[in-house]
Amino acid sequence: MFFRTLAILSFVLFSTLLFAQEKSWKVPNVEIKDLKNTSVSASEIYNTEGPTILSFWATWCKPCILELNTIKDYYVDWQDETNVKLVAISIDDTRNIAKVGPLARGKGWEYDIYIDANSDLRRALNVNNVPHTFLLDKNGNIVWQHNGYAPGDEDELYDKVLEVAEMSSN
Amino acid sequence: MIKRLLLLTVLSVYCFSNISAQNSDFNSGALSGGQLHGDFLLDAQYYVKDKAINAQELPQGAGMNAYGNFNYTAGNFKAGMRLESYEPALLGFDRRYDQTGITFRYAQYFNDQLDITVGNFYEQFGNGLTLRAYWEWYLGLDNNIDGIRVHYKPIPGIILKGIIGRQRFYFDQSPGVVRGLDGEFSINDIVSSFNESKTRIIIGGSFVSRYQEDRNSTLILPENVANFAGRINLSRGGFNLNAEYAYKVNDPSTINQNSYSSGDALLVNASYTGNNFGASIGMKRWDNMDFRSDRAATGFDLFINYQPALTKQHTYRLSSLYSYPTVPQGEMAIQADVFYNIKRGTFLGGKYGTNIAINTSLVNDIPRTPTGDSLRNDYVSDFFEIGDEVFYRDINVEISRKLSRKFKFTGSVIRQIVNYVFQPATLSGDALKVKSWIGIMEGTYSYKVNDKRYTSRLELQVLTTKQDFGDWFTGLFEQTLTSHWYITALGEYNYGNPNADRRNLYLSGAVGYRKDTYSIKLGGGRQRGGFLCVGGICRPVPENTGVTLTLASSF
Repeated sequence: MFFRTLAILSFVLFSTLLFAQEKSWKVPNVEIKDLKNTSVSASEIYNTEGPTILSFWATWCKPCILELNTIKDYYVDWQDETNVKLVAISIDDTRNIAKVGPLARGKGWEYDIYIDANSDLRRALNVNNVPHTFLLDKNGNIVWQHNGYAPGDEDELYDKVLEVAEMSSN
Repeated sequence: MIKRLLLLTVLSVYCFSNISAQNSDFNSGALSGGQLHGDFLLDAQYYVKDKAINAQELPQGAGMNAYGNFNYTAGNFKAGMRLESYEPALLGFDRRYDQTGITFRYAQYFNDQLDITVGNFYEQFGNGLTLRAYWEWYLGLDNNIDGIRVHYKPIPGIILKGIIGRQRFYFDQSPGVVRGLDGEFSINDIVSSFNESKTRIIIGGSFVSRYQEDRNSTLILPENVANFAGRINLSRGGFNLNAEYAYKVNDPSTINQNSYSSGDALLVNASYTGNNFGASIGMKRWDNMDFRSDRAATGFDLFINYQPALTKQHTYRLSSLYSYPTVPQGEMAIQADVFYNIKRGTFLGGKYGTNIAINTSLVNDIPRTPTGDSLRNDYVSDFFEIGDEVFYRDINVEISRKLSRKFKFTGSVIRQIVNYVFQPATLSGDALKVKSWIGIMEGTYSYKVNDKRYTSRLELQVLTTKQDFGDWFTGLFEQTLTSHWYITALGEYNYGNPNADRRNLYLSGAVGYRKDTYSIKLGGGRQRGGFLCVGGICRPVPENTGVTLTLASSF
């Protein structure tokens, strides 16, 4: 029973890989909150001037903080070169919500910070774990995504940001 | 078997509808140009005998938890489903999960003002004191509601919500019906004289009621139980203040030992964010606010509302060994956090800057004075008085600093006192009160060989206590092999166990591959028992030895 179910589920997983979609996919219209607790539609938070890195994170997620801290050191240069904007969406719930802004600013992050307190946007974008990073072009299309973070992953991310920035300028 | 064939048919229809929607020209109207997205996760473990640690096993040998989510969107229409399979569930999960089936399916229509969902949905009102339906896969917690949900935005600044339905109960439904209304009003958007104000005010209110039939022969139980809440959020510049008060009418239940007293909760959070600095302070008073769609439910079953713990969510292995969830009967808590980034180039900041985080939390019981009626188990509690019993104390400091281009260091010291006397039996174990000191050091070293980047990460952790199983030492090593492959090794040694025969060593390792949104991880070894906590709710994980496999993807 176990191995048969495993086989079926693996089949379902890999069959979905065949259906890689070429059509544009955008962030859906789901309500999230900014640090002043005001509702904002997630479909409107992308950067129209260049690429957007949409990063799902949480105050209790160590690799997330490591990733955002690492990017912090390069952020000014990345912005100068590509006009990229990083939007960090915290999936912290009521327990940790009050810490999200203080932690972000207390680490010197200058990103746009939003809160997805009941994981509505997270589920709408099928994010099963944090950290999970999406890359959007200046029209808001999701062009790439990546789950997890290991030091060094930011190099690959920046290569993709450069590609998107060049695509946009053509 | 028929059930499984049905599931496969449904999945195939989804997949093919996706292809046709994207490749054919004859689709038109609202359903054209649809998109299928989803995610998939599988955790499997094969358990083996290990007498030294009394490892638990499953009669089936191996366990597996898996799900696949599918969401189809076309124009203003959306539909989706989730298949879950536990054949059987991993150790530590409730045996009522041992099935395969569709646990979530819905259809949704939305436009800029209106959003209607029929089927399963998640929802939270305010801070969740009256209603929070959510999904926490790793805990085996899913209290989604099957029914109807409506969101309506009549004008900018107003959001109205209404829900009705029954909650998920493993592969079944709650005996009680949940009904709720919520309104949120952004004063700056609604009142023209506040449009330009630098102070932002948002107010809100919610009402949630549960109906459950009374079949008790000795007690007269309320069939309709209401829970109301009001909230306000004030912000100006870097300041933010959020407060919510909830009141629940009498709700005799298994958790409160059939007390006919009403319940209430107050949660207040204030925060300040500046440049390279942030601080927050929170307080809460919780009294008899456990609210479920079955009054006989316990454990993780059928929560209607959310009972957040007001303590730091520790992430290292040993700092989360003695975790603290909210005591549902009642508690009073206060917590403060300070985050500071010492600028680079200064004496304390060093070349790259230094991060400091300080946190403290204190939780005590609330006082209760019985009012005499023992059958109704009534009591009164002075709202402003703090009870004598200490539930939790925690003070911790974390410093992290990048020392050179290649090397980062994090160190932290934690003092914790945890009292499990008033926790549900599954959590309390043998030790009722544990006082511990915890020290953690973490180093990350990044280097290049032949222009390829490699990273090594090492965590060393020590916990010392005279209670429970005594002292622990934990070492964790992670090494990236290429940009996609990595290996990890974890060792935990219970060197201070008062029982010398139980001074066990727990060794495990894993190799993983990660690319884009696909990941696979194969591991093996011995794992110590403990609690897996997400968002202040903890699931016990028994001691076990075996081989694990994790697959995850999204598309």
